[in-house]
Amino acid sequence: MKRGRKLTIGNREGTLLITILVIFVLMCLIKGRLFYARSNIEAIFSNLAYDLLLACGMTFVIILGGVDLSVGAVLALTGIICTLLIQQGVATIVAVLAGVLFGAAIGMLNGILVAKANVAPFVATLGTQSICRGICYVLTSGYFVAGLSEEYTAIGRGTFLGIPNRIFISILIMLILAVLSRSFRPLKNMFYVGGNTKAAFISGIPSGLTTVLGYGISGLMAGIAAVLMTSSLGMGHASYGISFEMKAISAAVIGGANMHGGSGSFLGTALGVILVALVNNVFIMFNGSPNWSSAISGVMLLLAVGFDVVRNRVKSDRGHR
Amino acid sequence: MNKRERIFSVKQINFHYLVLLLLILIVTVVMAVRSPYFLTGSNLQVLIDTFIMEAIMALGMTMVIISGGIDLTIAGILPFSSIVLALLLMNKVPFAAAVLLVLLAAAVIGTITNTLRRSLHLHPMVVTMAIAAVLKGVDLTITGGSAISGLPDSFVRLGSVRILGMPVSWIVYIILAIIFLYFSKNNRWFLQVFFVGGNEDAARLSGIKVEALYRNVYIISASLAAVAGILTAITYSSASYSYGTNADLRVITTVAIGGTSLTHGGSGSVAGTLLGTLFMAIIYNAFVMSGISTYYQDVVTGAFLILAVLLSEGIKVLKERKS
Amino acid sequence: MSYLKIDHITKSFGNNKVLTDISIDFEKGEIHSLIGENGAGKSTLMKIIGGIYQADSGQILMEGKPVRMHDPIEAYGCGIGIVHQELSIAGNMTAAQNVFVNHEPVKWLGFIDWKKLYADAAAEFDKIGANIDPRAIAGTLSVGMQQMIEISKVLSKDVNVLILDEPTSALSDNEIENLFRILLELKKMGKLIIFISHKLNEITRISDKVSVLRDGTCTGTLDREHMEVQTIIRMMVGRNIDSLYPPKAKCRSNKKALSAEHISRTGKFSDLSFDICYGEIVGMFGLVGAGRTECAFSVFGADKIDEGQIYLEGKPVSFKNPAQAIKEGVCYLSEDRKAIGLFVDMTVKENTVAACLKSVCRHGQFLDENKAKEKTEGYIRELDIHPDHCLDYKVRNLSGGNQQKVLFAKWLAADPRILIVDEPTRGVDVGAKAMIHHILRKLADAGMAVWMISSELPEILGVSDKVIVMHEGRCKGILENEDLTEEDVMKTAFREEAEHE
Repeated sequence: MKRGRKLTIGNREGTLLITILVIFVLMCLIKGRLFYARSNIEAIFSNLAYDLLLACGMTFVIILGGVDLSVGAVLALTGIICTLLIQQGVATIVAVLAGVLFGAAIGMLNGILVAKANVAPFVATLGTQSICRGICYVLTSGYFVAGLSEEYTAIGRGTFLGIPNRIFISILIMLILAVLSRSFRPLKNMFYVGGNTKAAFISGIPSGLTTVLGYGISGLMAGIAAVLMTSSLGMGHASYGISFEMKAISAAVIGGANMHGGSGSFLGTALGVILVALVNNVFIMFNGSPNWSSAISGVMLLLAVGFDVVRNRVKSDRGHR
Repeated sequence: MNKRERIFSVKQINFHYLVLLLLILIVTVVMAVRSPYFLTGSNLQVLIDTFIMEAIMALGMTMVIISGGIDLTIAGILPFSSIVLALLLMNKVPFAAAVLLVLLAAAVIGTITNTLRRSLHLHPMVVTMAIAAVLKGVDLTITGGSAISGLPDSFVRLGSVRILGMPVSWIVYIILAIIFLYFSKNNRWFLQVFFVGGNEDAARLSGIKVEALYRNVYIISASLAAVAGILTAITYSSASYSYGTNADLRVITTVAIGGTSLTHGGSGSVAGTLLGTLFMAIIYNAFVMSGISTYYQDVVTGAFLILAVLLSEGIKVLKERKS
Repeated sequence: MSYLKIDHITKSFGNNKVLTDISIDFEKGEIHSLIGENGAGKSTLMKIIGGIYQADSGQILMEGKPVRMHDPIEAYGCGIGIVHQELSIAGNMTAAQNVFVNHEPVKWLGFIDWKKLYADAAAEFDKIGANIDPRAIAGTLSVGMQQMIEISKVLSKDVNVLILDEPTSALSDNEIENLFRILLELKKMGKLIIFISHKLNEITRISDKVSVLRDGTCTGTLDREHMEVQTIIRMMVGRNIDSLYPPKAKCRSNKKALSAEHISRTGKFSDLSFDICYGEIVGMFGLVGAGRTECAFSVFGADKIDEGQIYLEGKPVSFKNPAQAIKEGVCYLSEDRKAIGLFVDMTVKENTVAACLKSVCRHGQFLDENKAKEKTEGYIRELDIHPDHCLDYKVRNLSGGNQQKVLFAKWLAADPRILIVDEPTRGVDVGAKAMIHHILRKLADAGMAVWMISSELPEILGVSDKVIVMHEGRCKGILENEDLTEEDVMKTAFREEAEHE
């Protein structure tokens, strides 16, 4: 699909890739070893797996013209359910499946609220966010859920060809979604529904079902991220994933997803995730506080949208002449 | 004919209030029966104190939501204001000047919110969420993650001041609530918020300065969050980044329960919000009194938010079907 | 010297010239009607007088002095007020608040003087004899009452020129009578009333003068004594049918494709019965508000039918949603291509395959890019979509005519047996128009049943084999298109009204 499109300044992915490279090279020149030390590179990529998964799910929701604020809380809750099951001695595969499906179910519940009950996306997902986060604390009273089996922790801690499993899995899922979103009909439908819901209905595309599916995938991604996160950290906690939704939204928007729906690119989202992580690291390299993490995401989101607004204005000015 | 229609619509509003009142009554009776402490003066004081900041911010949020928007910055502005106030006071700025500066800062944030919303063509939820994130970063950085205490004695004493037996925050809330209740029914500018929320194009054609009105609405909401921040600092004699965590959700839920529509602007009322505030405060207190973990609060708040919106949507669908 | 004079007004939107050199004189104390087909430029002209649009050239003179109005507020300042076609009522506020929005009587600090507000509103309603409770919530009142509120809102600003844009389209007969009484009353008070309508009987009943617009020009102004329905119709449509239209059907079969029997949808259309056979183009003519689009929507499954039955090749069907209709080979090409037709930010290819995704998928689920590309390229060639390498262009960047062709491609790709086209040539240039007409004929000759909805009479007469004439939700007649003239159709549409004369 991407064959025909070149990575040039003109398109989003090219711009992002070049921006990332420029920042990377500049940092290497300025900070030297401090920056390209293995430990720092690992730090940049430490949360990448989870961010990437959530951002991919978010991309679908944004393509649909909505937004999913519940992903961070769903991640925490799914993680706790998984770890509690493992603690109880449930077979690993069962616990993982239960967790992942639970995430998908919460996502679909969001989708049903949005598509069938006409609740505004941010209201519905804000509600489920609060419910899920609350249940996390109810289940754990704020304590860590630890004492997990080796079999479970191996999922996140293991490596494949020298790459940590969690990064391998998330990139694999991202690539699968990137390919499927352009060819698999139910996913392709999301672009139509987000682009013009009425026209999609008139064209015989099941818009309600598609919406439920989109939010379902977002929940599913949060579920998978939860398994990877809890297994690699070796415990579950109610505070996991706080404000991850902010990061996911910015990464998707930076990657070219339009908050009004209808467009979005998974490669762009992936590059957006990397850019956000990189900018965060640069900030810390210059002695910034890690507390700014979600503020940086927020500012980058606004900048990305502002960039688009200005670019479109320039474009349409040119068109008029 | 129109007479009957009018009565019908009045009934609709009253119906919502009646149900809320009934629920409040039921919870109160059940709690009073179960716990002899529920209706004691000290518990009522706790009941009010735990929800008073949300109550203040709900007034501004009501206007924002009626105008068709939403404001998540309040959860960032509340701690931000308390911290800025504390820092100003510790640097020997007079109290009155410090309060004015804090309110001014909030007004600037409100203006920025609206400017970004307008120029980026973004849903206010996204813009205010980003701004809240930035404010949270600021809060954490200034305080380094710990509370600011050791404020001047004159300020600390404010916390124990009682006027007519009530703390400052109660007095401020009562004044604000009366102003909002009265203004939202009688003041031209407040009524224009309903007009713009109900039919923006009609408002524009009628010569209402729609953009200025949106700006003012966000400034008011931000200022009330600042007032809440100042009062929090007075109450606890300290400032912290953790004040007002999740307040945005509780405030929005309160407004939604009060019957203000989150789906379509223009419908709602301050009176409803006051009832919603009472309801939420009693529910929260009931949790504490029943010894149920406060962790359930978030669960219930989220569920209430979704239920309130579902019900108002459902009633609307039923109404449409009828006509 | 006339009271209000519009002088050589010209207005274009982009490349589309809407008004060309229009000059009309209006006097005080008269009801001056404007009539014209859809798209003749009536509403645009009124919006220029009301300050909502600005003319490209020409000027507006009041009592001989040129006036410039940049927004509705300045127009009010000149004493001009518009009652809009779409009611601009805030349904959540009371009637009185709607009347006095933004100029409420206030005491101090912007506190509203409720007593005065309701008394003033009651006085305004009294003035026009409307029986409305000022305290009623506007949204709970009937459309007729809301219209009265609109009128009061404009009159309360002390205007001398009252413009009403299609005010009767949503009113019941009683409400129309009431409105007319009010207008005559206002006329006596010396106000100028500009009344826009496409309902001939209304116009001939109450106007003192009528100006006829056609294709953005004014074809003349008639006085009361010269105001005859026949004359007006001739002035509205008097064009030569150009020879650009395709030949009529070669072989019309008698095999019924789609039949409707006594179908009704409350408030939209009632008791419609018609047949559409394979190989023919059936034109459905009617002005805006005649219920044509609504009827197509119901047949297509996008809306429901309250009464009656639809038959597909003799078998009763009822589509619950468009997906079912498309499956059965019934397709609907919508009138508003941007709002409910195309995905303007997606590519031509994506748009073309939108309604037939399944057929370009391997195993029904996986999009086959090559198939989609082939299919799209086929239609780009067949329909001559420009530029011819636009496969991956966003539809937004194409011209109006080419967008319309993409919309055609989308529906042809869905392989319809019955194609409903709603205003297929709206907003496209002459060349594309002729092309689309030829495509329709080619499709019919290939055996497809085509149901064409249009409010352009020349198009209806030039293209269709049979004409269904609609007016105000009812079928006024089904005419065979043999030497049919525009006047015949218009007369059918206004049949009962003409008989009243």
